[in-house]
Amino acid sequence: GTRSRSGRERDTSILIRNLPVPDRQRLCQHLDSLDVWLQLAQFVKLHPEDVEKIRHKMRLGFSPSDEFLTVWGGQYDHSAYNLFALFQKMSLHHAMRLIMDHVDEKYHKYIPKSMP
Amino acid sequence: DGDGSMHAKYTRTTELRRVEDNDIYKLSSFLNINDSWRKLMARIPKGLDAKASSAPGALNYDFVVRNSGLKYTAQHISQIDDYAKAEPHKSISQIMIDEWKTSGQQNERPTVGVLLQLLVQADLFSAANFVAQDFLNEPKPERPADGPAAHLSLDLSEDMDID
Repeated sequence: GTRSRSGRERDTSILIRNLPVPDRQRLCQHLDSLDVWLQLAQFVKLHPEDVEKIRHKMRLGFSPSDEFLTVWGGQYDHSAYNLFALFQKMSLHHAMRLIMDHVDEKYHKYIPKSMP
Repeated sequence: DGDGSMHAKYTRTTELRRVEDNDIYKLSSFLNINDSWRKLMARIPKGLDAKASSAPGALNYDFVVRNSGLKYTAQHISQIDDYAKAEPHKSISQIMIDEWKTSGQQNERPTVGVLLQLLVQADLFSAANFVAQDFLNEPKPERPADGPAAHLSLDLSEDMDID
């Protein structure tokens, strides 16, 4: 199963909406350069009207990844740990590295080693 | 009441119009996220017996809506947009709550318990967690197992080098 509910250790990581702005900007630049916002939105099963809203904001020049974080993190109150888990499931390893300081150190071993 | 926690500021049967302005203001900041107030307003049932529906699990949402329908239409929601233009010092969610909290017959006046159940029903977990913890001193509501509100965990099963 890709959406495991097992291993529900106490999640003490910060909420996505409380990520420091510079970290969030660096993350969004990276995700935008990969153009993966729609895959992220589909993986977490965002409602079609929210996907449309992100698309609309993107046409207006806003970062679609930032809008994705506003919806999934903002409305649903998900944490940096949940985001880290989402990146793992999508094999976005560099994105995992960009937010690793915001999840417990014991999870850092789940980031695959970077290629030389 | 028997349904409120010892040190909670409000109980589930506290009417929203009895909630302090400053708390409504904080609530509305959560409802401003991603137009959450629209999603809430669109789901409010008509003719709800608010007091009887306040306790945990007491609001049988599908049954109530099937029998009585919804309180607000798309036209009401766009009216809130118009009011907001006329009152730029207020947040749009605050205007929506102000309309809802004084509406209806006495037994229809929304309570904190009804609000919380409707927030969960609408998948508005930032607002729901805030109401549960700050208003009621209760644990965060249970998340659905599937969909955008579901909890995501790391896959710990892969073979990893353990140091």
